[in-house]
Amino acid sequence: MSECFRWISVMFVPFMCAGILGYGLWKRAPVYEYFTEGVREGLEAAVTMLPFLMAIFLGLETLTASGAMELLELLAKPLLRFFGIPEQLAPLILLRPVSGSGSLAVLEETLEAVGPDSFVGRAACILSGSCETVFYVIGMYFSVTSVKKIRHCLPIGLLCYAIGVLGAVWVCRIL
Amino acid sequence: MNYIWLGMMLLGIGFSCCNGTLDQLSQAMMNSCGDAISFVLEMAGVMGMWSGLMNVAQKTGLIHAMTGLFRPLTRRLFPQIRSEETISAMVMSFAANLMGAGNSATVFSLKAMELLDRDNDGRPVASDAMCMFLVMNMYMVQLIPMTVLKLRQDAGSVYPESIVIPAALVELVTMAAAILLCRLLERRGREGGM
Repeated sequence: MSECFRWISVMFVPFMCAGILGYGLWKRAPVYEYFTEGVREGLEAAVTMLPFLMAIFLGLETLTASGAMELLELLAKPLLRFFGIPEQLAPLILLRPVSGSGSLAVLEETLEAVGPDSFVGRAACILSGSCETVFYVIGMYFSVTSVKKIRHCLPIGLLCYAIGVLGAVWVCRIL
Repeated sequence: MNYIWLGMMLLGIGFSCCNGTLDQLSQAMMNSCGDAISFVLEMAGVMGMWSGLMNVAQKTGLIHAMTGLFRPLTRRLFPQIRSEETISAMVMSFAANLMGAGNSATVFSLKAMELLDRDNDGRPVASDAMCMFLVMNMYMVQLIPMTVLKLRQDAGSVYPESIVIPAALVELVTMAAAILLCRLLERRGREGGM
């Protein structure tokens, strides 16, 4: 099962690649030229992204490194208890919106502490899938646009985050 | 965006002062700048490759054929978007996210955002389609959560895959919620004279 999943995931890139190039061959198109032309555009986009990414990396790092998260954790605990969410999940829930790699490290620690097949462990895994790095995604996606007003993106991102957390805990309780 | 960023920076620095973690903070701030550069460098390669391949797909007409397939779906979700290039980038991004293709998924998402921005004539206010795309992509169902499976295996799980189906279920619910909420709020935004 695990092997099978890995294969599907690994196959995605090479198969897409072969499909596109194969189609090009069939159409007798100058594939090589088109490819290099596209690469140039891609690299230009990467460079334009950089200043905005720098800003978002800096902002998120400042917030996490300052210890503001620990205070938030303290404040969030009664709220989590109210919704029946195990306390051990608090660090993960709070870090996930701002840092993908950071929250993975926390997930690893949580799994080691409580065991991957326990209720909390399973909930933590599902949560990592169903909840997203909201701030990070918004910052990065809009970095390539000229948008200044992001309208309802942030409220929806956060609201769905809450739904994801509750869903993860409830589904583990039922199944 | 302006206030979100300002909020993060100032809150962080403020808390750090109270906590006495200023030395760690300044260290972390310097590191994050380096991280941003290495992240972009890492992404640039993948971006270049996909951008090249997509250019091939577009010029050979493959994209034209593919978007036709997804028309009925995308027309409902993104009624204002007519450009085939944009739709194909969005579809690719959804597909890559579904398969859990990490960096490739990010590249398509950014490409799609760029094109959506073009369709929005570079206006400073996000379009309905941008918001819909963003929240959908953010809460896209992930069929194969590779990293989480790996972590579970490393932690010695007896049955690492046991979370795949419940996770997909929860993700389905959050995605549906995201789409519905987005529809609801974009309507309200328009009535409010946005």
